[in-house]
Amino acid sequence: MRIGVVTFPGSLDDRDAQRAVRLAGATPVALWHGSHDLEGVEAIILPGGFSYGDYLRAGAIASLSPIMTEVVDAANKGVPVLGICNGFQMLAEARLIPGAHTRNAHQQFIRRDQRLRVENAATDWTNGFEQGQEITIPLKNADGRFIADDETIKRIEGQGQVAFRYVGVNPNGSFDDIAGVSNERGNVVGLMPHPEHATEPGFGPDTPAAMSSGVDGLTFFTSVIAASLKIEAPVK
Amino acid sequence: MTTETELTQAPGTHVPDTVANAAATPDREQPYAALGLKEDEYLSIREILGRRPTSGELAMYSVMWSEHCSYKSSKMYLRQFGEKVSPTMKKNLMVGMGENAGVVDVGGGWAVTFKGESHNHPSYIEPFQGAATGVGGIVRDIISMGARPVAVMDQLRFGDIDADDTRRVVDGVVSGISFYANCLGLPNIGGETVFDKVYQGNPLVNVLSVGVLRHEDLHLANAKGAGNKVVLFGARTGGDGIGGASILASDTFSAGGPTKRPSVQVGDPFAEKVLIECCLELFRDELVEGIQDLGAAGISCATSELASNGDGGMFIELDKVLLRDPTLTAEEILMSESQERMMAVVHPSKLDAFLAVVDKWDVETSVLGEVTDTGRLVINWHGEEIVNVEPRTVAVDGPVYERPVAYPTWIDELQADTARGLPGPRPATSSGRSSSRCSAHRTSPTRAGSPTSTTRMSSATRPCRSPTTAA
Repeated sequence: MRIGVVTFPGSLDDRDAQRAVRLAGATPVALWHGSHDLEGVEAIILPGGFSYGDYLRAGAIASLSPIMTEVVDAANKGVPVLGICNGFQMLAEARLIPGAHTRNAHQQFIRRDQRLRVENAATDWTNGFEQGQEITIPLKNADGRFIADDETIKRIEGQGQVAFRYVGVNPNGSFDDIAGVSNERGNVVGLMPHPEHATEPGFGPDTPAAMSSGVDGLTFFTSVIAASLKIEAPVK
Repeated sequence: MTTETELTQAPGTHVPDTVANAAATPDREQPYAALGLKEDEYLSIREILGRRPTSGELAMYSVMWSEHCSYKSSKMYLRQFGEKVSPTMKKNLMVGMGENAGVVDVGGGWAVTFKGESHNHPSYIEPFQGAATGVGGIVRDIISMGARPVAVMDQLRFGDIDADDTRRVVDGVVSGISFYANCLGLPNIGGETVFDKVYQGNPLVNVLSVGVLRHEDLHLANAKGAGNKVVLFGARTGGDGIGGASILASDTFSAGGPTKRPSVQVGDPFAEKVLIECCLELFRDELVEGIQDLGAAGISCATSELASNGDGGMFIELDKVLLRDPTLTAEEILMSESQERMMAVVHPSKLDAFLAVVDKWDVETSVLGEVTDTGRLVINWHGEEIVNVEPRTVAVDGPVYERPVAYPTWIDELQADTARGLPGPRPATSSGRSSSRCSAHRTSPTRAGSPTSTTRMSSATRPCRSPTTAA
């Protein structure tokens, strides 16, 4: 399976996402924001970082990059898209998922290994988890507070679009402890924590078993490989 | 990028001093003292050139011969770091003193490059931007070696923790370092902080950047090969850090236009992140002969250093520099310390490919001139020659001073005043437990608290210092 990782000016975790794809057993394809070519990939990752320096609003300028036209089309056709951190912000700016992001409630940057509960194990990026499973994924953000109006919160809670919820600590003041959401179809998922940083023993979060041994993030990428088996043909 | 002509300076707004003019008017008074040059230094510039310097040359010499750029008072001490390195110590050293950053072989074909630099005074004046641009400068040094920066560290000294002004400096410096490095994706992997009243009004802000590279990717910045193009790319040149040049401009020319400009530069980490990727791609595709970062002394430094390290000659058309502020004078452009700029030496056959990569990253570029074999650094402004110097005299052969030094006698008492002098619960006989590096200098393993338990050291044995006073 070929999974595209889009690099925007200011992307930081694009190479980490490519590595995670490789570790999961798929082939990473480096995509460039300025191109209109998805190169026939079967899934797309919008990685973390500071696209356009977070100027204007985090993710706002990148959501208008040339390749986003194709990403939005592909997402609407059912191609799996994962937005991580800055990528999550782009998905919100591109209206592929509901809600928006603001500065963390405490106004500070935060980095921690974050406990999450999988609230929907039926999306293309979470089908390898058990419903309600608790996982640990590194988190690092300053503009990570997920917000939405009451009606939207009610709707996404009711439709199972809340994919992940913070457990123990709400690190940024996100409404309803929401850490990640999906679109209605479940092919587009965005979350603030970084699953690509928990895919390789020795470089992940600490676990009770050993230091830096957490690889809970790998399941995001193996999930999409499993989901792809149900897709009949790659886009374009 | 095509609007170059509108955005570079309109000709006629400022007429700089030309080389011909300097030769014709040897007696013109020049504001060398206001630029920080001593009379003998000014006279030696006149001797080197065989005439008075133009205002542009004076700008270059004054900034390149400043303590900040030339280390003229500390060079004789710093030099010893190179002289006292033994072959054993050099075993894994791939690049030592004199280049943008040191490089150490770590095996397996990999190397690590380090650059540490202080940004003390700017960080006191404007803590956030001072510290942030300190990070920016060392990261560009790492890039210019062909390495990918991977981490930063800091070593900080602030004034008394209870003093009124300390909070302003601490909060600004810490946020400035973390903001800039984080935006580049560089974790801060360690550091140390000390508060002491001796740093009141003079904090020390040292930041280190670490880069990783393959041996074969190592590059050194020099301007070799006559005919190769000299290209400036990155952020536009503005009025940052040119307090001194405005003296020149207002002294020599009629008033009008802003002369008071910020002396601390403002950083744009996004522009730097894009530069990192752009430079690494230029190196990967072998499109550059060398890349030099622009920091203190800006274009004055980059052109004279590149030329000194290469074949010795360079021709620059200064009016090709892309400006953020079109009212800048030639002297100001030479001295500007605008951040996130790089200078590359490019073979003419690779210029189109170079420009394509730079364009891909939306980085602005202008070809300023080329490497020559004349041995002279010549800079023109709208067709007129305003600088014609031997680059080494600017960048390398500046004055070096042996300042009078005196041993600070108070320091003996301070060094002797260690925790060992305090009565404590430690058993009196267990001298082996005091594992200080100083233990070898102790006269005898006498009881803690005894007046003879510390030795007054002569300056010859000075390297052993009490950890409580090491700074």
